[in-house]
Amino acid sequence: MAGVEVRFEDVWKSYEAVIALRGVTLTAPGGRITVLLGQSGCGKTTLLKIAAGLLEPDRGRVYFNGVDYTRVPAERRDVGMVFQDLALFPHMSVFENVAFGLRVRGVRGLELERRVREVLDLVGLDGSFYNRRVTELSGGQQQRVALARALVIEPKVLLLDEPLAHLDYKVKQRLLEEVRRIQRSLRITTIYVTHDQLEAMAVGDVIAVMRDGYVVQVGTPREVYENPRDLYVASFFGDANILDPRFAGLDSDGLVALRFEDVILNPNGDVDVVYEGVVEDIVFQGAFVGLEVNVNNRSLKLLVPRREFARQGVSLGSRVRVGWKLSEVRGFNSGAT
Amino acid sequence: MVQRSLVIAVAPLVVALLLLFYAPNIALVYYSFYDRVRGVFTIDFYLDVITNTVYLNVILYSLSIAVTTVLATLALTLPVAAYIALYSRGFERILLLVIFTTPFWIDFLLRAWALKSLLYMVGVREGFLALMVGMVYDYIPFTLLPVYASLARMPPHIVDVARTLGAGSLDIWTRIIIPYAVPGVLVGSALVLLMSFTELVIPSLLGGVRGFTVGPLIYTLILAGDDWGRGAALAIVITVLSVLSIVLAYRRFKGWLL
Repeated sequence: MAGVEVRFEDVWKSYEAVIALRGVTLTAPGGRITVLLGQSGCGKTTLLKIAAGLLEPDRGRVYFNGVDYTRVPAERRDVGMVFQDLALFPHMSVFENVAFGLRVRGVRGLELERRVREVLDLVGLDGSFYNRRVTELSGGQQQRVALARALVIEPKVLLLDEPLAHLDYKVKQRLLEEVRRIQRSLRITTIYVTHDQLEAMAVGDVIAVMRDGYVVQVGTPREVYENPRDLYVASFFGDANILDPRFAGLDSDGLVALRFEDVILNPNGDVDVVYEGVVEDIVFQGAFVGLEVNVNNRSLKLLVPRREFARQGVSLGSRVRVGWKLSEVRGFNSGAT
Repeated sequence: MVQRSLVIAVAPLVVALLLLFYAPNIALVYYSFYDRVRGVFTIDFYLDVITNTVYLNVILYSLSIAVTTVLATLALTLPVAAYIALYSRGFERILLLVIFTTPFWIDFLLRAWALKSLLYMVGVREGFLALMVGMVYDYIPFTLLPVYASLARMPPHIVDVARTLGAGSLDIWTRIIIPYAVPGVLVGSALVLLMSFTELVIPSLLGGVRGFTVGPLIYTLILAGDDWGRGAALAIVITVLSVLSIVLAYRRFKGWLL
């Protein structure tokens, strides 16, 4: 199965006074993970609920593999959804939570048991968990149950609404890898909603950046990162210095963006612009070290690999040179916000 | 400091309960064993109460009315509680709760009389129907509020998630909402059962000849017949039965309590 392609066409939705979606057109390719990325209130969860059939759009259409699904209710859509709060059934065991979707479909007996066991194996929960109450499980384990419950019905589409938001960093990393592994092995079309750009990069085949009810840019993580469409995307997906173009070395209007890691500390040639400045802040981040350098009363941020930082022996108050290539400076049409 | 001041603050209620509830009940136990005429302690009253088929019939009749009341109030309030808890928000929710509980801001006795007049106006005289209408009407908040409280704790996405898993409305009612309502249903049923079992006012006012339940029976024995021994024994048998049924129900449904 190649996976079902989900297509939104000019989807509008408002709640009382608030317009949540303003004409979203987007294709989530079959068998891939599409990430809806944006801050809270951008409309990403609304779009996901419309994909699930839990909300009907005011205008516009939703297609599954070209078939109009706009008015098909959630219970007849065959989608698996995991909510941010997981919404496990607290009065049921792990096994019964997962079995729910099969029971309401009339699956019974050995087949039910086999399918529940298969999917629990897939998410890494063994037989010792089957009779546990879901309320006794850790956050990561509950997450696995929620995922298994959504997958057991062999859904056409998997919809994940900030599924890992409440987990510790390490657990989150591991589950991100597992979500990818499971998605690849099942080749199930997945729409993944998050506000976290690192999560988006880690799982997304396609990233759709959303803002104020619009999809502002769609592309692979690399495309979006390297060629952000506007200043908003540049500073939201990854970090960037937003600069006056003349300071950055370009002759244009508006503002330009320069990625933190594209600013080079004490460059040896091979750059187009060089300034001198004073190190005002140092934040150790593990693999990288974040520096804030004051250049003529402008604050410039840069990310330096840890080894490079150690080699240069920079400390607070050091006078340093910073430089960059003009090809790394992203200019945007004025008017872009 | 806080603990000491709490002890002082709690004292009035403890004293009131001791004087007004526990002491009279102990007195009741005493009356049920003490034969004033012969001046001896005896279990005859209990034997009488348990073996007398008239009493037994009244008890069973009252119990059946109480159980019917419980089932009827549940059937009427469950959908309302579910709607308020799951689909109403903000002001609408407060308004609905107020609408469904305002009748109970009016005095119990006054309401029973008013209901009697209203039922007369629509041609319903004292009897079984009037009795049931009165009972159900009076006990609605005691199931509505606990069931609402249970359902209000449901995470909002539970129903949504069940729908995405393919559950139609029947599945959602039987597999999600009703199990979730169980704690409230148990509390509400216990309250309604205990109160309606020994209800005095409604059967007396609205029941007519159908209103001779244990409440009026105990009332008649003690206050009209001056038969304190039998009245007390009957009251205690009823109390024990009630407590026993609650304990059994709790044991049976303990696993359901979230």
